[in-house]
Amino acid sequence: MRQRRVVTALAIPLVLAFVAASCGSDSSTETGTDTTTEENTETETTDGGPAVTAAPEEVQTSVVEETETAVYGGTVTIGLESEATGLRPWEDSCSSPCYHIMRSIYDPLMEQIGDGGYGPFLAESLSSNDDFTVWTMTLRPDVTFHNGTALTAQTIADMFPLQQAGAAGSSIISASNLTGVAALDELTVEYTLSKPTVAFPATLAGAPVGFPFDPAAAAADSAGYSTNPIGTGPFVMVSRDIDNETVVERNPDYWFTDVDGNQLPFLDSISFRPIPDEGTRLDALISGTTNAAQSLRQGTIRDAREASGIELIEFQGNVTGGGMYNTDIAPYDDVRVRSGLSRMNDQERVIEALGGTGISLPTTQFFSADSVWWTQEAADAYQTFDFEAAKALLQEYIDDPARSDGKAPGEKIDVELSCPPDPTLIAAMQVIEQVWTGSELVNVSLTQFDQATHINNAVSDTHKAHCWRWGGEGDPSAPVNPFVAPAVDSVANFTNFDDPEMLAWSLEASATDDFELRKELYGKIMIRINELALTWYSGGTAVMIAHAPGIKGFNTWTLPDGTLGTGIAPEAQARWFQVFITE
Amino acid sequence: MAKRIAFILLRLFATLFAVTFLTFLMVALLPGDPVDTILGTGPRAPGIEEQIRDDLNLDDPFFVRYVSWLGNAVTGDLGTSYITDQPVADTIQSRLPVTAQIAFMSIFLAVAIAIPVGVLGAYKQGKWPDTVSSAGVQVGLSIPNFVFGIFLIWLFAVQLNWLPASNWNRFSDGIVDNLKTSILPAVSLALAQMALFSRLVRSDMMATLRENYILSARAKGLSDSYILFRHALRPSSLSLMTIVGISFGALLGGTVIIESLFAVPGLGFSLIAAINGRDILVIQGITVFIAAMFVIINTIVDLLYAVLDPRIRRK
Amino acid sequence: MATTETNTDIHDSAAVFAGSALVQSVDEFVVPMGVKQKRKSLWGIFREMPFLVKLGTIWLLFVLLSAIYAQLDARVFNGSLPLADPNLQLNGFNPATGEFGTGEILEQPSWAHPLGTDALARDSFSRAMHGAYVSVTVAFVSVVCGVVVGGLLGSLVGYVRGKTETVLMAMIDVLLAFPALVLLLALISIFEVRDLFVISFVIGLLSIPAYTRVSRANSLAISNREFVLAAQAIGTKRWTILRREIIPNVLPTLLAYAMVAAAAVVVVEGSLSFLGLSVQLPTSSWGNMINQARRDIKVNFGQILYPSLILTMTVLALNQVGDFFQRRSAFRGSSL
Repeated sequence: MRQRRVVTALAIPLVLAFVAASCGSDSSTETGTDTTTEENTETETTDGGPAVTAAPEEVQTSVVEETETAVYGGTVTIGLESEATGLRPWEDSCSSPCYHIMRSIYDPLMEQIGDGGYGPFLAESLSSNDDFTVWTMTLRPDVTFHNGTALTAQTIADMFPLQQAGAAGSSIISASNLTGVAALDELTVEYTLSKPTVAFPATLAGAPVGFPFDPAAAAADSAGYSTNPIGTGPFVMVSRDIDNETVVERNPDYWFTDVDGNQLPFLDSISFRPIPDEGTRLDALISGTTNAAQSLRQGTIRDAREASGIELIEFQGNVTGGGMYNTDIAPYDDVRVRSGLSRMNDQERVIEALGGTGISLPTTQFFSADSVWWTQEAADAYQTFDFEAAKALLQEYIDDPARSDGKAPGEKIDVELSCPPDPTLIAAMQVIEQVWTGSELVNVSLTQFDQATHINNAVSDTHKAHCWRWGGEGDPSAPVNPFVAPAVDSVANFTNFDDPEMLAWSLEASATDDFELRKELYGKIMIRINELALTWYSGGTAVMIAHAPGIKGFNTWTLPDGTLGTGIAPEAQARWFQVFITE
Repeated sequence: MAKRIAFILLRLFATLFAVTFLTFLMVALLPGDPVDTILGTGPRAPGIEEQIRDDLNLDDPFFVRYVSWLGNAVTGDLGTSYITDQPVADTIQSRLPVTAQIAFMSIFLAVAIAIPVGVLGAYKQGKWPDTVSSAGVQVGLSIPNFVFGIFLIWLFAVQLNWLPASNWNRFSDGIVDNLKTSILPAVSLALAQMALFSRLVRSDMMATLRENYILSARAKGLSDSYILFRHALRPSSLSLMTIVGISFGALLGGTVIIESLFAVPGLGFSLIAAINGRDILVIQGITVFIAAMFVIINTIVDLLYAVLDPRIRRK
Repeated sequence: MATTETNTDIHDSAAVFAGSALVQSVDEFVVPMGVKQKRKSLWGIFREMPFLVKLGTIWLLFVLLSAIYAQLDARVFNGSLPLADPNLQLNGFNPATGEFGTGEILEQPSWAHPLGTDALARDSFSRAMHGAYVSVTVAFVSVVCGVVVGGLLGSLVGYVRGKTETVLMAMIDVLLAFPALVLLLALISIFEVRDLFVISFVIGLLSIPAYTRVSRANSLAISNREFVLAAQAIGTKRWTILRREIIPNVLPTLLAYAMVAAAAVVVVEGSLSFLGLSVQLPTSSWGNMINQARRDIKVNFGQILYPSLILTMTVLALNQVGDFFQRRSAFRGSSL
């Protein structure tokens, strides 16, 4: 009896011992933060909460020129957030992790150069006619695919039918108004558009239309192309073990020679490892199983800042988290409800509640505060936190006998809030739900769907209020135009709000390259969106690539003519052609 | 004998038929469909949805699609994934060995530890070896497998740097490398199973030890260990065998958390991704395999009952 | 009616009564066997428990009371009791101004917060108390389903054999062979309910096959024992044999499995939270507390540790108490 008591009682301390052994640093660091990064325009001092300071010498946030001398050789093993389901640019949808792999095999015709601008990359030059409906592109000579086929203008023209029929390509083609691709001569391509689209270069920078592939090989065996892709890029596919490892190795015939005369790429090979679990991905980097990792989650960025022995590149751009209302459904069709709900959202506090202070910044429009497209007027028009005013608006709706949801005056408003399986959005949702409930004017029900259901709800317009993450680093027309396009035509108009003025402004902005005019027009659209309270925001999305010391080139790459690129933007993507490993 | 085999095969196919039919039905009832996963939420070209639906025969009535799948499946053609365009058979072929290896290793580990622990517990019931081992395994049971997995990664990868933190080295690339990547996932899964198995062994063994034939063995002067392992263990293994059979099947489809934690390309992970993407052909293919393996294993378990306990006879 | 003396030397008794099998050792307790025991009062039972089992019982009672308290608070008192559901009230929320305090996320334990706070500054102790309700319900419902339905079916099948066995086991096989993930996701998505009882019932449904197979295995063995054959020989009805000989003898192992399975189900609920198949946020359960704490594991390990410890202690308690009751009940051999 005594033995039993003693011995079983030991079980508890044994558990504690086992667990205590795996405790790292338990204490949360409380510091008043000032952020040393140039991208962050707010300095926040926090009174409590584990806000973490960025260690200045380890975190890069701005794009700079590379100062070290490049060295040939080495392998980068990078942990990615998820696997690429396919590697066919015209067919398979691609997001950040997939772009890592794609950018090693393929080259983009155009590349981003910051602030939504584009410069020629695989293309030698791109110009348009006066009303931006006909674009002429010249290719570089002597570029070949990995299988030896030459890249000519005819190749580009032959790609077009496949792109039109492809799941990914067709959408981009229709959104960019592209109607025809013709080869004028060996190296000259002519693109014809149905509407003036000043942002057409953006289409040539994205995978579905802008990454050249071998159309003959693709037509012959489309499924095989997905696992053995053929591009013009710096690396050649070696092996593809889906959900485990994809390996590429140097393309010895790569066309790109940098301004110092080095034939690119520098690396011998790259190994891509999809590691869905954020903690494991970081642990793999820290333990040396991998030597690079990407992440789009602020929690991981926070942990990476704390870890030693790794270097960080962080970026926060225009991608923001938040939510939208479906204005087709009561009560979200009434601006008082939308405005009232949005004005209860204290964005700074929500960010703080999620531990994102110093990592995620508040947003007021589709552009971050240091984007050239950001306007003060739009920021001012945002539905800022004002609890009194919010309650008054909701109360007015509640007391309105003609209220659109058909309920009796005095009854609370029913709100359904749904979120995709995104941890940060879900956490924000819980905070917002409590604020809404705490006002005693709203009944909130939260739902959380799996990815497919969520997409289905969004495109079939059955959602009510839903969390979302949206935005982009390219030309503003990319996120804005689908958003304001007529709801019947555009599934991406999730709010289903048709405002003819916003539509007209967006079309006008697509038809001119006058920066000031475009900025003004997009500013007006942002103001209108804010006045209509179609969206609310819960903080920008910070992203990072973390890597072992000695790996260079993620943040410093340049286009062939020497123009500085955009670092790891958008979405923590890596361009591999100038990456090298020192010592 | 032939009749027996025929009967087993009949049972196998009947089960597969029922399971695949129900699965097809279930997925058909889910909201959302593969088109949404393929196209995502970006802008959509007019007509692209119809084109994809047409290519994939998604608009055909439910029965037509099921029968067509069945017809192909019996000839060995499990179709192609809607999302990756890769043959389902290839996907299964590359994933099944991984999951099967982890499942097998974890069960092996669990049984190897559970039998001595359970026997010890029954033999020394009430005394300190029983209490210690019981408490130990109970603690093991209550730690969620992914928490244990996180701890293992922290210890063996980050702190000691003995093992890689993630991903999988294929068996064909070398046994040692393969073991390095398979041991941690297997151990994570083994912990809870070991607890369950040892309790079952202990419980059954306690009952068996009270039998009078055990008594007579003791009276004959046979040693305790001889009795324990030669006379008592086999009849006490009934519950264990049953649960091992069930566990193996459960593991084949249910290791998704460990697989995503360790970034291992297994069946569980594919299954959940396919469900999330409404990739019906992949779901069907994997389900067929899991179901088939399940029935086969449990048939073997059933046959083993008679071997383990001679008193069980077929009627 | 076969009776034995109140005798702690089980071996003698077994030797005396050939054919009396499966009588359990009752080393610590002097309990008459083969005779209907006098009903002891609950307090009397409690008193005779060993110390650790007492602790376990107290812990289980505490968990049960937490669950009851949580429901009282939610349904009757509308969240006005102390230690109310922290999911209903933001930390320091001021309904007049809409302000809330957020300075306390991922705190270490303190007097104000005995188990610290989680990533949204909610008091983990309250969350754990309210989470007890979810875990208790899930475990309880699934065990009841399993033992009642599965135990009955398996015992029947193992005894009766023949066509009944074939058909029933085929149906059970189908259920078992069905990947649980598909079924869970499908049932929950199709009906779009995240109601606790629905989820518990679905889990219970999925666990029936395992119970059935376990009870069938034991039933098979028992059906061939001498006392069953003897009972058949004298013409006892099959249903009576089932009820008086087979089921009572299947029950010990089945309950042993049930105790472990209950504990496992509570842990499995955490896995379901991971896949988004458990109770809807922000309702707390121990499982989703553990899952939510994964994100911040490097900042505050305690938030995974405490729910895990609570889980461990509940499991230990379940097993201790289960063991005790198992030992206590006598299992009759022949009862003719």
